[in-house]
Amino acid sequence: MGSYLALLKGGYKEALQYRFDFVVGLLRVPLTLIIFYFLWKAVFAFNGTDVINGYTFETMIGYYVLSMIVGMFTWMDVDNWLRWDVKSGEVVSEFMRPLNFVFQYLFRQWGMSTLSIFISLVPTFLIGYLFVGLMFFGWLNFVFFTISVVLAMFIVFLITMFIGLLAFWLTDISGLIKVKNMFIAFLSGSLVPLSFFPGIIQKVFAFLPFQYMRYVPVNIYLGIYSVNETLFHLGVMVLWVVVLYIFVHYQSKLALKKMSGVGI
Amino acid sequence: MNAITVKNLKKVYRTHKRGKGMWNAVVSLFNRKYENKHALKGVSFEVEEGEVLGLIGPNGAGKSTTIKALSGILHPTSGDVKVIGYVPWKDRVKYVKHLGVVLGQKEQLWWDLPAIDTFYMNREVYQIPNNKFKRRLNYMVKLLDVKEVINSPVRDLSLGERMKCKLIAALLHSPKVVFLDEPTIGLDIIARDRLRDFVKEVNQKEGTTFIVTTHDMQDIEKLCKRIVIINHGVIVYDGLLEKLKSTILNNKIIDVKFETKVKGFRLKGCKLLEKGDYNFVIEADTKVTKIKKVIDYLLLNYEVADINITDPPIEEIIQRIYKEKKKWVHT
Repeated sequence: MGSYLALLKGGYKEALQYRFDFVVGLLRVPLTLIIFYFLWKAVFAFNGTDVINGYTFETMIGYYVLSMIVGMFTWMDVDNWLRWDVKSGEVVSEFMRPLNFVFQYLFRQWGMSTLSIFISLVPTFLIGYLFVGLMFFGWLNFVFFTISVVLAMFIVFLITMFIGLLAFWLTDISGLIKVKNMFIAFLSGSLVPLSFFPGIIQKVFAFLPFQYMRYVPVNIYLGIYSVNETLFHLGVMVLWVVVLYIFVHYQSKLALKKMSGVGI
Repeated sequence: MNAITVKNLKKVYRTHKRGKGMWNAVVSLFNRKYENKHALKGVSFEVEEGEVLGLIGPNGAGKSTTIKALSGILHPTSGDVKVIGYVPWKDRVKYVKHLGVVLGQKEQLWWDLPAIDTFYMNREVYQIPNNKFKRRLNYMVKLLDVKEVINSPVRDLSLGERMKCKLIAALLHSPKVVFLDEPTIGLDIIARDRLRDFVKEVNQKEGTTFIVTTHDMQDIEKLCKRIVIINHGVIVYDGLLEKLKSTILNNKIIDVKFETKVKGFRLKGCKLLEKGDYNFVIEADTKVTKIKKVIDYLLLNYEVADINITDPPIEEIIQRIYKEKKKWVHT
């Protein structure tokens, strides 16, 4: 464990190495919120109604505030690192450490995310409570929400890792990363709440891991599910984590075998 | 005792070929031609514990492929490798604890962070006791003279400084076996010298086994007693550096100076490399004409002022081996 913490510390220092970029990165949350604020303001004004698809303007912005909070924890850059590491051959450094390949990336990512989460988390909650009428739905929901965020983080990590590891077969995956980001933005509910989609498509989403990245954790916080439903969702998330981990674990072993071709 | 055993190691790569130009770039999207490249065609050698082995060969000969297979980052097509009791590509996590690798062409250090951060990270990764770590770090930093640079981000360092820091990072955990792949590439003379002295000292003090690949023959002459020469994926020489000269080399270079002006020189088995009014440089094939005969001939027929007999430089010997595809006797 101590060995992996070393990578966490490294990622933490890396994140702080360029202070301008770090500060600009912190602006991502408020800027996105402002964009969605004005976007939905325009939509509501155009529609002339107070409620769209069950959301009032306030609950809609509240959704995005919570979505941004989940997003802080599920921000993953490991596919980009792998793209670069594999293409340049620097990935040998990861293979040279006496550590699990996948976990090295996980801990480095945690190190990278830690400080920005620490700085943005409370202000974002405060913005939600003070300006958009976000409410606290009780400790039980909050605990469920916290668990779901942790599981969402693992799901996003593993899918990002899956895409990143494909670099060993495809060498360049920049196009794939863009498509993946688009898919996740659309299918996770970070662009629009998934309840906006037709019923049949929502049924399909239930069998995909994407809705668990944003939509489900946000709904858990908002108390939309009953306790049983929440537990069911959490159970499905655990299942996804296990399945994806097993997959990525073997994929990383195959990647090592595949590596021979990179940079003779 | 053998630290490393390599038996009949083979590696076949598959690469795709495409013609030049923009049209062929499009064609290759639909129709890809693959070609098998035999990087290693059955390589076998052994390295003793505490030995410094020089692994040399021209570009693309298979040196780096060998090093990668030994490091466990490459699965060979066939063959056996055992390094300090491990099969590198099978027991990776356990094995690399005892291994240090410096790849001259790779970065290895955390690019955006000072080298000292990588060193401290390695302390935790390899769980080196704190006082031992500090002692070792100070010792290596002093030996390589990098005190001034380890606190600046790696991206701001020069090539030589980075190489020295990489060497420290690779040796901090006192590995039993160390692979150096072109460690002196692009370094100036002073940096090279320090690096070699450093490797030598670590080898002698700690009995660390080294394999060094390089194109710099001085690295070899200063560091290695034994060398393995690899060419086109096969070993063409495996033996002592000293013996390389006597087994392969029948030639001597004779540099003669004369008191009086001289015209020509002709003798069986001798080649005139350089001809001046008062001096010759002769290459004598001692298999055809014994060196004594050449000297006798010179002394008898010319007013000799000075004679200097030397071996051709090691570079030339190596060049000959690279060019001639023949296998030299194993010794």
